[in-house]
Amino acid sequence: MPLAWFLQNLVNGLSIGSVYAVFALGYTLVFSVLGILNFAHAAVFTLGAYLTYVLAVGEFGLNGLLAGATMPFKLPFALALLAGAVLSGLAGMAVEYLAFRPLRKRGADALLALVSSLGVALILVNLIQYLFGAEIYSFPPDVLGSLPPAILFHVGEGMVAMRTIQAVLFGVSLLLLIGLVWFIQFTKQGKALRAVAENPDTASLLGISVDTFTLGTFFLSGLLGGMSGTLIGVSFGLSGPYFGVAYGLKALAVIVLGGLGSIPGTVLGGLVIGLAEAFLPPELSSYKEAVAYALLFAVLLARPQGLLGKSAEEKV
Amino acid sequence: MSAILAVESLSKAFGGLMAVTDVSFEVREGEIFGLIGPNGAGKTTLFNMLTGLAKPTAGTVHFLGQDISGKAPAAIALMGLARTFQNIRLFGGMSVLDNVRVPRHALDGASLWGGVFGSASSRRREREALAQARALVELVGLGGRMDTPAASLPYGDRRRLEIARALALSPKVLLLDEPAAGMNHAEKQDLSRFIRDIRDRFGLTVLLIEHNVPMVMGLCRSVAVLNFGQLIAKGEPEAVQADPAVIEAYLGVAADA
Repeated sequence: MPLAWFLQNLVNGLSIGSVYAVFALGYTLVFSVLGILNFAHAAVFTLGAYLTYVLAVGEFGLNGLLAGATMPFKLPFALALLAGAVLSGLAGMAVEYLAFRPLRKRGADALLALVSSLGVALILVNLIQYLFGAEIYSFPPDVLGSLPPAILFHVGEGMVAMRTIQAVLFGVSLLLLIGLVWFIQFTKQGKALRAVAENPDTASLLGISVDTFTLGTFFLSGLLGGMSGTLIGVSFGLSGPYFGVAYGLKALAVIVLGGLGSIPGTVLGGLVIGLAEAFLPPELSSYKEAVAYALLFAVLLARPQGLLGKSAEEKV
Repeated sequence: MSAILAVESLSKAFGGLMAVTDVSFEVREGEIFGLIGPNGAGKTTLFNMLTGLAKPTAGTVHFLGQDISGKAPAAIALMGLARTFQNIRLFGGMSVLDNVRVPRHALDGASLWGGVFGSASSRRREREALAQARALVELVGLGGRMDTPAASLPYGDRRRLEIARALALSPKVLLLDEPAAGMNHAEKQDLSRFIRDIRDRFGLTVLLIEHNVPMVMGLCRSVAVLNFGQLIAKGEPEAVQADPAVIEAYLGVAADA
């Protein structure tokens, strides 16, 4: 029984933790290039979930401007996920154009960009509410097609259930993580991106257009945000236009826990928080939202730079 | 003999402070041009204006006959103006080889997505770029340390790597900001030989900021002297060296003044 209990929590923790990691990587990418947190990322996450819902289900809700409208087509889930993510990537680029670039060009303080990204986040979320309404959207149970809802494994005396959606969460997240690391480590563009992240001035003097790569970073970030929004949405439903806020706070805990600007740190942070939530005893489950921050405070006491972050001295 | 780089009445103000005031000079193709002056004379600010990092308050810079004073740094770099820094600025976490490969990514006209789904011809270009980068690393004597992280190289090697990285842009003009800083006499002589060698090999024009007067005098056929942001002398090294204003700037007021 303990082994089954352990494995069950491991499955739960890894699947949700990997999505946290993907979502939080969107913050990390922008942070490592601009040194700023993009608060509009959680709104892009929300937008991605709504867009995929509409593309896959083909219908809008009962209130909001688009109430009762139907789409002329429905995409299979995998395609809708991809299209929703690409549209979210474009939304990420719009955030760079509207909230970050104009301020950067005028040499504004980083804090101002942070506030303007918060403004864009509010506008996006209100736009979602205006168009889609404030109601709960739930993906229909058959959105993944005719797959069985869960697979059961017998472990000794006990049973471990892997829900199909958990497998999808974990599989898609893993693919995204591998793809991203490959892109950054092994492609020319990834190397140029690392150069921009390490020192934008020097990169520009070597002929790399910092603006183009910043825009590309926002696209990737939005793509990851929209993708993770959809995955969370399929798993737990879309509880309203503000459903990204709680996950955004959690992702902030993930990136600080892992070490600001560190990609391996972000992945580790996501998995640690996912697992910690999963292993929380059921009688404490109403305090789940506090786990991420409790863990964060505990780790920061011992390692102020986060799990895999570089200390301030090393960075200089 | 035409000027490959022409600086006209260039000025830069930081608030009320004039870092560079009304500086004009021309660098001819193929020469090694020396820019000297005491600390804080505005030499690095001038380099920053040439490369687009700082916008001039007034004046123009013509490179290859084109006014580049309003252009972005990346555009100027791609036209063939490369530089190194007084305080070395390598990508510390990247390997020696990767540092030299960074500029090639820009040169190959790589869009953010083009290289990800590489065609056969782009893969061939990639191989050529890799071979060229290796050759440059070998040229500066780091062939045995291709995969070493740049941050862990000793000081002199980092200087040479920074020059190799600048050369990877296939520049027409190379700006070197105090390349001999912290070197001993023998190393400086090595460096002088190396600068002449790369000038000849790549058909470069070199613009050199240097404190070490003997080195500049040995290497350059034209020099310009900056003091407090103003050009106080320019011409052949022997004439400049004898100029009273230059002697004053370097040694203080002459005894009989």
